[in-house]
This record gives sequence, C-alpha cells and structure tokens, in this order.
Amino acid sequence: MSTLRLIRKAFLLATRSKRRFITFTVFYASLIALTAFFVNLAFKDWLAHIYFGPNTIFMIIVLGVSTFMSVLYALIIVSNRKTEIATLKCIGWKNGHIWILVSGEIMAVTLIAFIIVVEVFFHITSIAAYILAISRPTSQVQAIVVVQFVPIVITFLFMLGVQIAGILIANRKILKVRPIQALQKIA
Amino acid sequence: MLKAENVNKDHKRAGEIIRALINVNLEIYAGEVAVIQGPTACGKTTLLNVLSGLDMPDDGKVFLDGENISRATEARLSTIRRQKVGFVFQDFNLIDALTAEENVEALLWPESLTSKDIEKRALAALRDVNLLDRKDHSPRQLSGGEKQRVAVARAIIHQPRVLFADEPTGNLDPESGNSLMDLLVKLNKDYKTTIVIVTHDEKIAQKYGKKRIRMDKGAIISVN
Repeated sequence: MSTLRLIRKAFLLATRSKRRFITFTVFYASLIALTAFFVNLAFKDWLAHIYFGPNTIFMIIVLGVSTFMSVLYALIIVSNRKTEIATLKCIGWKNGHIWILVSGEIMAVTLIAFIIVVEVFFHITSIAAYILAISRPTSQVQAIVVVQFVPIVITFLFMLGVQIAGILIANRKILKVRPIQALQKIA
Repeated sequence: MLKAENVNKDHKRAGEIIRALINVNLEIYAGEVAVIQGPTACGKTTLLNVLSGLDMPDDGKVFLDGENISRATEARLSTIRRQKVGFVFQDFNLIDALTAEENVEALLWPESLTSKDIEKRALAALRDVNLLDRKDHSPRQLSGGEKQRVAVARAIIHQPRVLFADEPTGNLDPESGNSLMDLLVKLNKDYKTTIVIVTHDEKIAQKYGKKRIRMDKGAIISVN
C-alpha cells in the first residue's frame, strides 16, 4: 500500500515542478519520437536481415542520447531536492522510500512523454488517412502509418530500459545524502 | 528517556580537528522541556544531532528509551525517527511543491496506513497548531510563523516520544517566536512529549526551559 502511495506522490511531485517537468517531457517526447522513427526503419532492415545498417546505428545514437538525458534528469532531481531528501531522511524515510519517490518522478516524465508521442502519431496517421481516404483508394492507408505497432512497443521497452541508468545513478546519489544536511544552511 | 554517556565528537574543518563535544554526560527525563543553550559554536547543535541519532559520536553512548542508538544501523535509526522522534528545523525545511497538509502527511506516507487515516492525523495535527484554515496553501503562501507551525505539525503527527528543535525561533520575529514556544510547551503538557530545544536566546531559555543545559567549548558547564 505504501509503495503505491509513494509512486502516486512521485507523479504528483513530478507534475508540480512545472518548469522542470515540461522541459524534460518535451525533451523526452522528442527523443521518443526520434527513437520510434528509427526503430521503425531499423525494424524493416532487421526483417530484411540487415542488422547493422545506418538506421540501426542512428537508433543506437538516439538511445545513447536518451540514456544521457535520463542520467542528467536523475542528477538534476537529486541535486535540486537534496535538502528535501535530507529532511525526509531526518523524519524517518529510508533510502528505499526516497528511491521510489525519485524513480517515480523519472518514470512519470517518461510515461507521459511516451503517451504524448503515441497520441501525436495517432493524430498524424488519422489526418493523413482522412486526406488519403477522400482523395485516393483505401489500399494506400497502410503506407501512411508513421510508426508501426511493433516498433512502438520496442521503443517503449527501450525507453524504460534507458531510464534504468538514471535510476541507478539517482540511487547512488540518494545514499550519499546525509540527514544532517537538512540542518545545515545551503550557502 | 534520553541519556548521553561520555560522549565525544570531533569535526574536521579545513584540515583542523575541532572538538565539538568533550566528555558529555547528560540525562533528560520523559516529559521534560530541556533547553540547550550557549554561545555560537559551543557544540549545542552537535549535541542535538548526537542525541537525536542524526550524527554518531566518536566515543561514548547515547540511549533513547533504553536503546543504544549510537551504534544503530541507518535502517533502525530511520524507524526510530519515524516512530519516536520529531524534528523542527530553524529553516522550516518544508517541501515547496506540497501543500501544508501534504507536508504534514509526508512523514506517514511510507507507513502501512490508509490514506484516510493519514489525512485524519494530519488534520488533527494542524488543528493542534491552529493552522487548519491554511491546510491547502503551499509554504510560499505562508508566513514564517505559519511555516514553523506546519513544521511542528509534521513533527507531532506520529505522536513522538521526543521532539528536537534546533533554533526553532531563529528565523521568526519575537512575537511569532513566543507564540511558537507557547505551542511547544502546550504540546508538552497535552501529550507529555519530551522537548529538547537548542537556542542561543537567553530570554527563551529563561522563560521556557524547565531544564537548562549550558554549554561552552564542547562541554556542559551546568544543568539546572
């Protein structure tokens, strides 16, 4: 019960830090869109047994950038919340509880960014399908799908995976925050 | 309730060793309002940190309710803080992204209680500090005195055995400071909570300290 509550509170805290939340959601959404686009292209290559073509390489590059963003976001969260983390430790939160809070914030941004990207892809596909439907035969509809379903699922799993780096870094930083820091003034 | 036996603590600053606590022996009984006072850098905050388990002594032992907390694990100390100890900080240390009510509730979020139960306790604590009408305001919308009262509500939501306050009136005007101290004394009377306050304010110490512990240069020089 308490774990679910902490996850809910993590989402709440993420959305209330408006500037940071919006900035990183936009960044993540852009990265997810790019990743999905290249995964879609790379997927077609893999089906044609081309495993390390340029599309796969671009996909790996974008995943690398996503991993970097995940680590950066984790560092920013822990750095900005250092006094809060120390205070929570003073009032009895364990490292594990704080880890759920910080990891929840990271995952909240990832999930919301992913939903936004999927929603945008649906809208683009719907608009394009509508235009084609009124001007061309419906057999052309398949060609206008921006990203196929399987690459979307692969992208989602990849993005969850790259968050692990950020979550591990956040965990290391959380362990280093001493409760006594809550009693010291930040210069 | 609280006992320190031959406690020593050194700090390292810029390569120099500073003896923050020197052979401190102290006993604070249940239900007391103890004030630790002394000049700046005499070791008051270090003593508070050691008594509350936030910091470990280099030598000696600290007992809280008969348990030696000076050698407890971090996990055990977290449990003790959540169950037996409350903290009030000079700088309030509230979470800006949360409302007053949520700040008070935060202490109990890791517990296996229902949300309704936590809400009920938070509202009771805010009622005790006369701040129920401001429960939905964020810390940015509260005055210094109100923020400190939210901090006190957070410190008492779990009905701790002992409440530690480090210069709780340090950032308040005299009127708000006295009001806060009256509140702490009221909590001591109503709930028999042991209160340990660190202050350099002689007037606060004289007026509210049932037990006055004077420190200088890391040592306790008098207890009355």
